[in-house]
Amino acid sequence: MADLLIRNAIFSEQEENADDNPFPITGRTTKMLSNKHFKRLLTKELISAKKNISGASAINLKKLYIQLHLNEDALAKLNSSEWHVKAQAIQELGIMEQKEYLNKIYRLTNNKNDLVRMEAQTNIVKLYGFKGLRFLDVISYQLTEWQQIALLKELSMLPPENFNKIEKWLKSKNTSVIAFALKLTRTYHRFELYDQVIECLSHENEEIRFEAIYTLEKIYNIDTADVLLERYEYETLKNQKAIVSVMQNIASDESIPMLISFLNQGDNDLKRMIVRTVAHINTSSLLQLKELQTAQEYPLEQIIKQIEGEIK
Amino acid sequence: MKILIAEDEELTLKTLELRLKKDGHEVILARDGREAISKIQENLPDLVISDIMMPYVSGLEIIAEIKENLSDHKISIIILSGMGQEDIVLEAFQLGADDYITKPFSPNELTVRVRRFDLMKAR
Repeated sequence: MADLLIRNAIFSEQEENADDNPFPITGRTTKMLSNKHFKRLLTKELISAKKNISGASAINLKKLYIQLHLNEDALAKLNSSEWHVKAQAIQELGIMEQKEYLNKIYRLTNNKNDLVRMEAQTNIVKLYGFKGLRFLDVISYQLTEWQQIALLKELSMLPPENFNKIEKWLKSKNTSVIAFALKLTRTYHRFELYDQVIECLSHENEEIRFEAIYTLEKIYNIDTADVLLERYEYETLKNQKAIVSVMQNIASDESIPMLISFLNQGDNDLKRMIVRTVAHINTSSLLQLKELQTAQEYPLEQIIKQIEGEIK
Repeated sequence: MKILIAEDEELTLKTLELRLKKDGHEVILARDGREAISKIQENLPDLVISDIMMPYVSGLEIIAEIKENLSDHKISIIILSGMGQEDIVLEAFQLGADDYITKPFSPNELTVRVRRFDLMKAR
């Protein structure tokens, strides 16, 4: 019966007066709606259909959802004390595009339960696009790496917008907000934020500096390689590797001597990365490397041979 | 046209079936990849509309099977993909898919796309 009701809604797009008239609901269906199991099944099916259908049919599914007052049930679930019920309600309202519940969902973007928080943040973005990101102004809990990726994925489905709050988020007290703002900067190539990203290179948090290094790879200018090379000796091993990796794409021949000088320290992986980067910038620089005093010693000898094999 | 729909989600399968029948096509249903391959071999449809993620055998494997073993029969293939599955869609095209529809899809869009294959077949 739930299936039939939904299919009728999907195909009523052809009806002449489908826009204003409510869908015909039989007395039996109305009676069945008082059964909570039927209602739960109907809601589940309706959500599943809405995920797969677009256009006029999707509008009809939304209309049916409201006509059956299922939005009010979702609202009640939103106030539940059980986190999984709350999270489910947020997801439901998001899929059914119930924008009028913005304020209620928005309040949950900083909920103490991480799953409620994640659902609220993702669905706010689903409903309001880039404007929905305003929760970044106020959240005190950390955005996990996973959640940052989920938000970027949600945003990638929207047409790019010239949203102007990234600069503010780059100065947030919440370090995960800064990390996410850096990801936004590089994803959307926001060249005008170059100076603010450079400032992040001096942040006390290693992760932020790491993100800043990779962001500069996407918005670099003629000075960026030098800036990163100057930072190199003050960085952790992880960030030194990030700098060397980024150099592959932004450095020129002038950076090669300094990169070669870094071969004196670090683990074998870092050394291998440096040799690969140097060879990537200019293949003939491998000759320069072979002239080094240590070029015949372990591990440089083996590394040079390996990279030579790679570029052949 | 004889159309086989391979989709593991019942409601989507029924929605597609209803729309295509309404448009005058003969429709064969398969609820997983294995059933789809067996019904394709048995019925030799003109068009296969297949979801990518399905139990037992994926939509990509269905395309490969059609292109490898049923290439003489000129079976067209439309892939149903989710948002953000661009890589998989690309792989589907490389394997020989003819078109794709992204979920969520509009039944009207489906009609238009299928009509295109109908016209091509009539030529």
